[in-house]
Amino acid sequence: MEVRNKQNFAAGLFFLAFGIFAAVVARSYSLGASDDIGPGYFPFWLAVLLAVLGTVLSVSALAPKAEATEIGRLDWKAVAWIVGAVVLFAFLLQILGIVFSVLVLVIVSSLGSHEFTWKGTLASSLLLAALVYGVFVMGLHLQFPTWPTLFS
Amino acid sequence: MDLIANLSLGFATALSLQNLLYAFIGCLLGTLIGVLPGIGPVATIAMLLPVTYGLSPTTALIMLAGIFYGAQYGGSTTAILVNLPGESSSVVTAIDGYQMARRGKAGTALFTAGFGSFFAGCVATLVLAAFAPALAELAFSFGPADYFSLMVLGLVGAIILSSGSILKAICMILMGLLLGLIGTDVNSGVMRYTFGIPALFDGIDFVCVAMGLFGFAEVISNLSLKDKRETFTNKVSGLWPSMADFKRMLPAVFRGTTLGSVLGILPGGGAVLSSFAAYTFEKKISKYSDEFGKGAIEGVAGPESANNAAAQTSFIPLLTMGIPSNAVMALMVGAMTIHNITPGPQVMQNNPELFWGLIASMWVGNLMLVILNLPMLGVWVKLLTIPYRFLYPAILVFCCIGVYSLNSNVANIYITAILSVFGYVLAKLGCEAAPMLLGFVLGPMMEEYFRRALILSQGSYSTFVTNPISLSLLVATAGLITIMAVPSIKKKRQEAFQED
Repeated sequence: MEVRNKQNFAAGLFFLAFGIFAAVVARSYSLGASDDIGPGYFPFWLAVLLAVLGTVLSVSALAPKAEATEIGRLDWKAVAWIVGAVVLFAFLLQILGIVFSVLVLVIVSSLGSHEFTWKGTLASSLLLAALVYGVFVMGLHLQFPTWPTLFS
Repeated sequence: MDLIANLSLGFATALSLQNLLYAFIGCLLGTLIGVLPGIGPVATIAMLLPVTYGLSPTTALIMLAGIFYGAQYGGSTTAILVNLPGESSSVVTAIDGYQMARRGKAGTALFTAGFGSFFAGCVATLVLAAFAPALAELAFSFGPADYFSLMVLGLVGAIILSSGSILKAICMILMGLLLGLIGTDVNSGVMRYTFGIPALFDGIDFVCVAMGLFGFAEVISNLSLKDKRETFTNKVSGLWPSMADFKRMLPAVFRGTTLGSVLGILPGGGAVLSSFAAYTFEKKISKYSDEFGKGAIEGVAGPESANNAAAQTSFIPLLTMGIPSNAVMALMVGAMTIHNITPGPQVMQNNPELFWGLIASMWVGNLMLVILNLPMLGVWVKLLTIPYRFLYPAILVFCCIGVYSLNSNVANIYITAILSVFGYVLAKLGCEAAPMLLGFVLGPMMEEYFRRALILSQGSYSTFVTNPISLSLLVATAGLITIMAVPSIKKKRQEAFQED
């Protein structure tokens, strides 16, 4: 047996796993009766349906007539830079305030680019930090910790 | 006449100085993001929601709507000049528009796109004004079972428009529905899928889902690509088409507008589907079908009119039934909810100035876009020279700030980051994100209508088929599924999406 449609096979397994997990968790909520459905009713049946369709998807990917697809290489480096920068931003926001956190976010995320240069990145990070300060803090009065907590 | 009275109320609202200003900002931003590839209207509208908190609901919606149809205009500009569709709805415009530009007719192509869009926008505004009240009237007679079935139809309709496998799209909808149920159940108070995490008690905010899937995940995807562009900026001359061009263009604009207006209203319809349909249609009936792909003016006029018409008429299901028919409309639901307006038939009665003001602003916005786009072409094209490495950090900054300011909670940023990894991996597996966002927004509503329908029928599931409205909606759904399963139509549908 050969997995011809690799994309669909993997997606199907993912849906199956997600469905089983969601269904098992939903079992801990009351299903209720049909004239008064409980909190578990809707999620449980959705999850079961998802698991069933995921199985169908995976199995049909094995069919000899299935369209052959390959899964493109996952660019984990890009994921790490972007998600890392964002998580770092969230973490630093309370400590450093919005202005410095934006600088960090721009610099770290720019490091993920193929064409990174310090000069351009520093310039754009300063520009964006100034823009954020001007528009969101001064202009729109959104509530942020603006400066590092040490300063205030 | 009612229509005239209503429209004049609408224009009075839309032409107030503040609303004009925000419509202008919306159109400008929309064109901007339409021009810039790698960021679409969904992410932009999500990013700008916090900006609208301080505005009145009418002004906020006028601006957000401006972004949406502005993006249609901007997308076509880049499609023609650089063969780089800024929006997915301009993918087909790139086919013939770019060829026209290569043959030295960039100006004509841009004029055609602008004229077609403007004409379509005017007609669609009238369609919206004429049909929405009647549909809202109808929507008042809908019971919970009918609403549930309508949502099922809407979700299945949305699948047709997604280009990939139908089965995968259904799975994505189910995932979205499940994610939408996270949080405290309004009826029982039970915490569902929260795992003791306080940030999940109120459920995941839809902005996080939209940003994660359409903002961050797309940045990650684009980062691995290298961009290569060839522009025809210097060759834009002679905007005005020749008489012969005009004669070929006009009928295509009419056909595109009609097709787009109809497809936009249908659940699941929208700008993307309409432009593909219009292109296929033009190609089929044209006397010059051999010119398609080599710079046929109909290939620009038809799809451009259709996508703009559909962008506007897709507001009809939202404003009359409260059902979003695509991802952008799903965001509009969120925007209305933030401003304490429940989308649905009652909007027209309770907030007439919002309803008619929004409609009138679309016409005003279209006019602005024509004025804005043609003289400012040079500026837009300049923007294309900004390298992506400067663009994406800015996208991240605005996304993060948008998500954070939902309720001043950094947990939202973490949630968005996790969702973006999901979105990226699923995209790699060929699963589209749009059905998931739609499912996410409809999840809680569907459960509520399902529950209410069963309470009314005392637990009898037959209520969904004994009720005539619900039955006909379900029959229509079954019909759609059957049609999609028919091998020959399945093949057609694949062809339509592989036109490029």
